[in-house]
Amino acid sequence: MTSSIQSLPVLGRSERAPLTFENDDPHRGVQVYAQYKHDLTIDCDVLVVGSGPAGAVVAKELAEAGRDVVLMEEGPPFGKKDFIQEPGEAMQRILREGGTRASRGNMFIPTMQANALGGGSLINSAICARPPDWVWNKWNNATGVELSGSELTAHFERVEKFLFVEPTPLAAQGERNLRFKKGCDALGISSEPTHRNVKGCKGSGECFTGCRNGAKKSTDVSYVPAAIRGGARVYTSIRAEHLIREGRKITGVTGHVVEPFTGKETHRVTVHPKVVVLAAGCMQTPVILQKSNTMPDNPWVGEKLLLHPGLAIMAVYDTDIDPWHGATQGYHSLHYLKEGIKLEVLWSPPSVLAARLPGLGHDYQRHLTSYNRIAPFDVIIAADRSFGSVKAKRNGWDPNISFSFHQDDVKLIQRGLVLLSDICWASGAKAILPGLHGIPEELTTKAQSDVLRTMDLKGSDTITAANHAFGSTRMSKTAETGVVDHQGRCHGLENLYIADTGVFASSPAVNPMLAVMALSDRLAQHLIDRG
Amino acid sequence: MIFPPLVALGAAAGSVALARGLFAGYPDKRLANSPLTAKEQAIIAACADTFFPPNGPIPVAGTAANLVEYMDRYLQRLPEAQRVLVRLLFWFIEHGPWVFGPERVRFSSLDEAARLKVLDSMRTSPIYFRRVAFLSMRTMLTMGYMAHPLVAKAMRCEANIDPFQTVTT
Repeated sequence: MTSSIQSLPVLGRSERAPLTFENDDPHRGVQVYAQYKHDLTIDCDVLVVGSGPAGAVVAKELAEAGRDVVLMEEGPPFGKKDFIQEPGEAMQRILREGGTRASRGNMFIPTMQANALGGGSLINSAICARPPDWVWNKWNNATGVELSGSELTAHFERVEKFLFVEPTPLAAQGERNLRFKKGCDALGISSEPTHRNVKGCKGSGECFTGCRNGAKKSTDVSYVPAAIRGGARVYTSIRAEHLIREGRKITGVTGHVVEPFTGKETHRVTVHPKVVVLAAGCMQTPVILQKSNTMPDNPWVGEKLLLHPGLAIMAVYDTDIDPWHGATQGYHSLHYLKEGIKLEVLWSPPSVLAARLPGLGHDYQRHLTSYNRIAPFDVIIAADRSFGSVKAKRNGWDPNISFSFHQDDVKLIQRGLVLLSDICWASGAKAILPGLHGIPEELTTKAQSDVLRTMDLKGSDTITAANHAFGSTRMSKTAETGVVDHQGRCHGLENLYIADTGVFASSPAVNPMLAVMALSDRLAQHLIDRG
Repeated sequence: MIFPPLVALGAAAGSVALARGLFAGYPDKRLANSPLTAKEQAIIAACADTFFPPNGPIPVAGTAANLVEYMDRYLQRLPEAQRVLVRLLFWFIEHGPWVFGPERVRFSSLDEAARLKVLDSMRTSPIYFRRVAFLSMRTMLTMGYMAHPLVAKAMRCEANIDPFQTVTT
């Protein structure tokens, strides 16, 4: 396999996403809810379900290679002026289950999945990090699947080039990010500006509610327009629901037009594709498979769900930080990645983070008034001992998500918290707010924060969240250990593929977007080669 | 056999008392056309002014920051299943004092100091579910509170760089 971008077969024509769009409308050509007047029947070469980082890549590459591609997305498109800063309304419009989705198990873990053109790329912080090469060895150990860093290098390069992936510049960092760097530098912990798929970021810190600056190259303004230029037909507000299987082939896909924000079903949709690529996300793809009873003999569908549990700590300074200025997550440290720990700067809509400030009543208000002197940092971990599952409910299309946070992984996240605490102090913090049950809400000396090291932390003592999810349809050498083969084709089926993060056999150690895009690029090449 | 009639009488009296405890004595709706019941509006108002009392470091109380109106809109936009859960949360807070104290009366009927005690006991409770309930309520109300321009101004958390300025880089 080749290892440089020049030597890869030319998959498509677009090497770079456009910086400007005709009439300032990157969604030109996208079919929307108001255009559907009757039931739809569609024929195509390839149906791609889901327009997030996985599906959009496959659609663009195959369309540019001359395939008749249909890209189907359940959510609506959002333009820059549709984004709302107020997080309550923003989450209800963009996220599944109105932004209240959480896994259940030995604790509740909130998790966000977007329901919009562009999927998760619309609301993530745009971090593009390559997994280190040893990740592929872990995948091999988990399920026997054979991938390598050298095999994927060219795919990473293609995606990075198309999306303008570059390190976050100093001008967009803001004090919140620079304090993290300062703390890491003082301790000799390596850190770096995050690589992100943005162009012209002004550090407005609004990634999670959608980029009103239009700087983020989410797939709805990058890969999807390129797919349309390549000839793909893109339908939004259509939910793919059932796969029709005949022998070893999928011969049809049925679904409904769904009204944006209400989910009300209107017209019926039937698609007759030659190949189906499911990229609905690791929470929705298993639901489609389960409700369709597509792989009744495969016990792994919906199983082995993996998360990157994350926990935040807040540093309080005696000077203004103005945390609302600066890139959402402009700096991170991969220093402890091999241990399963990634340290990073955190930001989200201010009020969402504020809910975990200390105090009550006037005391809580007092903490709110000091918010401009606070910087939140977080740790995410590769929770290799913690697993969950995704199960279709009898009614509706939202899954039951369970996840059991293993105590060994709680200890790992505690170690990350201790490291963050050290970074806070080294960066000049005057206090830290650990946000844990059972210890003081505010630690005002480094000696006090030793409690983070010594406490017997339980998962339920924490406010853990996890927005990186994967593994529910995992890649494996054989059908005995997973759902798809090393290319992403479902075991035992000739023309059904999965491209989303469900195929991950183990944690990617870093933010999953770039990895799933590179794998999707690789899958597209396979489908082109297959003819 | 006079025992069964006494039991029946006791059960009936208990049912009446329970119904009164659950439904009676709430003030009229603040928002007339809201799908929130009078009871739910009273619970939200009580929570709002306990989480964000008047005359504090931020001189805007919860109800003055229109948190009842915010929650009304928030609930209307939620999918049905999640709406039910939020409504259960309101009831859990309102009737929690019957089980957890400090007085066996509804949350919205307590004075401000007692309400603070209730919320503090939820916040620090050894029962995980009570802490989750506290955090859920505070998250929703904080989103609404900080959406109020006077609150944002008091926090110096004001609008960002002009987002619609043309990016030319």
